[in-house]
Amino acid sequence: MNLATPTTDLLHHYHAALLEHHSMMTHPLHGLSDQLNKDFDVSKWPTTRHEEWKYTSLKALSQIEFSLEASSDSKKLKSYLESLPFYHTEAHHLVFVNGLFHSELSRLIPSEEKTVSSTYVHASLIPEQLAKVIGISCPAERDELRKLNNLVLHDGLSIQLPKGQTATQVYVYQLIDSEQPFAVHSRNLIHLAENAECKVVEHFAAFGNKSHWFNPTTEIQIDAHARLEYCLIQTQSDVGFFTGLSYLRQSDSSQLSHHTISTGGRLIRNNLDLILDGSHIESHMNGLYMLTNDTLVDNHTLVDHQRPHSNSNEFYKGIMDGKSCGVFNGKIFVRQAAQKTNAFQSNRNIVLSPDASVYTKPQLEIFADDVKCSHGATSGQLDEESIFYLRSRGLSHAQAKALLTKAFAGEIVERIPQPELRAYIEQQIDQRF
Amino acid sequence: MLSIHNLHASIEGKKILNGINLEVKAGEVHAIMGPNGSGKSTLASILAGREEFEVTEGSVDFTGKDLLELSPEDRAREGVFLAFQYPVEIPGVSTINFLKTAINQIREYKGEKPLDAGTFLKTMKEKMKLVEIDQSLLNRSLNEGFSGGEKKRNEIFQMAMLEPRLAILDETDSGLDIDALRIVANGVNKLKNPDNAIILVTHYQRLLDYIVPDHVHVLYKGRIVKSGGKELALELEEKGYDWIKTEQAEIA
Repeated sequence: MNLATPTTDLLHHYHAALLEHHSMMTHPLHGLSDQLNKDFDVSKWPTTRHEEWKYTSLKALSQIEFSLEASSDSKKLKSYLESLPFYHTEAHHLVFVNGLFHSELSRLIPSEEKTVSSTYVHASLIPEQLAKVIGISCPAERDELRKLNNLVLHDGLSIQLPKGQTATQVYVYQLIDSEQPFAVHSRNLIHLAENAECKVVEHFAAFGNKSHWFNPTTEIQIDAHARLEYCLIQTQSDVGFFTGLSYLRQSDSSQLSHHTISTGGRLIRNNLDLILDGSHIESHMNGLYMLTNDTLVDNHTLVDHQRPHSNSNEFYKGIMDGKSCGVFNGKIFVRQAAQKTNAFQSNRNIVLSPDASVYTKPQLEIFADDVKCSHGATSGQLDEESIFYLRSRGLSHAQAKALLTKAFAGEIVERIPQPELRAYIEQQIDQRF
Repeated sequence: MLSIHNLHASIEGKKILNGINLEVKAGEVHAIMGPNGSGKSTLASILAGREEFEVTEGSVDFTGKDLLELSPEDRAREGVFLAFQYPVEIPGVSTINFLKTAINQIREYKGEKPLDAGTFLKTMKEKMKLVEIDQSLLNRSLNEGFSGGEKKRNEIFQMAMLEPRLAILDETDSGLDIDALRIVANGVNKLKNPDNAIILVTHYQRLLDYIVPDHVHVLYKGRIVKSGGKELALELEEKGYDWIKTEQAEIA
């Protein structure tokens, strides 16, 4: 029986085509992905009737006819990459185009081949390492989107760092360049063993005026005393969709700084799940989203404090212009065993236009009694008194607004460690305001 | 330089100014005194262009231009400066940060070239000495965590940098201890010259021991009810505002 409704017809066809395509070839992650749930059921496709998708409608996405074929123009991609200040740094640069590793545009450090590479390369080089990480996010797979990712498993970043090792800075570029609507379901697999350390920047961008969709799953295991810095940058256009899950599990005394910067896209849904399965963990989650036109950005975060003496600190800021809509949903669980937890959460928004909107919802569930938790959410316009102050010094109204808006964003940007990346983000902000 | 004629203003329908007349010439220092609620700060705000107030009658001429027609930024560019009674705190914006833009906006308005970084820095160092302000303060978020004295010194530092033709100091003395008051007053005195004018809005006579006014005006119920020389301030200090209030009640 075909359960598909007319609105999900195309999705149904897309899934059927994917199934057929994948039945004809052996997947590079064959053998590693067997236990992943691939039972996509179009009738369970998220709608706004689901609490988790109340403000975020995927209807427009389900009405796009995605192709399985894509052709790209290397020359165009090359000039784009060269326009990015951080592409020129001494680092690993992994470029993925339409879901596949692009060796010509990528630059890897050969001596670190076994620790930093693409997931497909590591699947043949060190499959036993990948087996430890792939699928750790299964408990967090709450919807059909993940099942599509499980089925397709496009290529992505793999970092497998042994004890005590530090990897050179990693930059990942997930690009879509296609004349037909195209979707990438990439999978990143990262494991930092005890006391290992690395910094990752993952940049998403697409070209052309055809609809495109990034649907990545990132699975990260951070062992004891290991340190990870991860920055996600989403710079899509008004025909770009993004629905991703980043699932991170941390052990004792590990440290994480996670940044999510969203400067464009028609619809962005970020799920960030942080499982703090240890003591003395330090986790920072920062977010900055700034949209305009008729677009939506939705950050759903979850921090699960499972053991005592860990700290989490979450700080998301939004600047909404045009008819854009910002959604923030921040869950914090503090389990009974997680005494002496410190968990902080803040979501602040500036609404620049009367047609823009913000929905923010902190959700704390605390089962331990000796904890410090706080949360706060604000949304409003720029402070009129500050605008008047700056104007009384000679700045125009527009200059005063731009200065205040940049200062608001700056509080997040300054937390990003790479100067080239900060420069790039500041440039994006300057162009906007 | 500044000529205020029969100025009436209200906020949310409530009348605050009821016909102010005031002439300020280049090189002069005027003190505007008066009890709380007399309209002193309203007058300062209206001159700087605060939009919540509605001017219902009268005119303000500044160097031949209709001041009330100008936006707050154009007033600044024409040379009007307001030292705020309560300077705002702006996280993420330092004094240096916005002052550079401000100076260059003013220069552009006057048809001058933007200030190069070297000259800006040199001027800044000079003016910093004037109000004994530390550079670290100017690099920090504006007024965030500043003491009362630091906030007011920062206002005078900005005045020094912007070199206005007319400076309006709104209760700059409030909340200052005697040392801070002396520093602020010293700075103002050094900025005084034959081409500019200063309006001091103050409740107390204290500031006038340090900045000696040429004219003192007493504002009461939105009107200037008494004008005189610096000795008027001393008389007010001695007799208090009740003297004015009783006198006004008798007239009425």
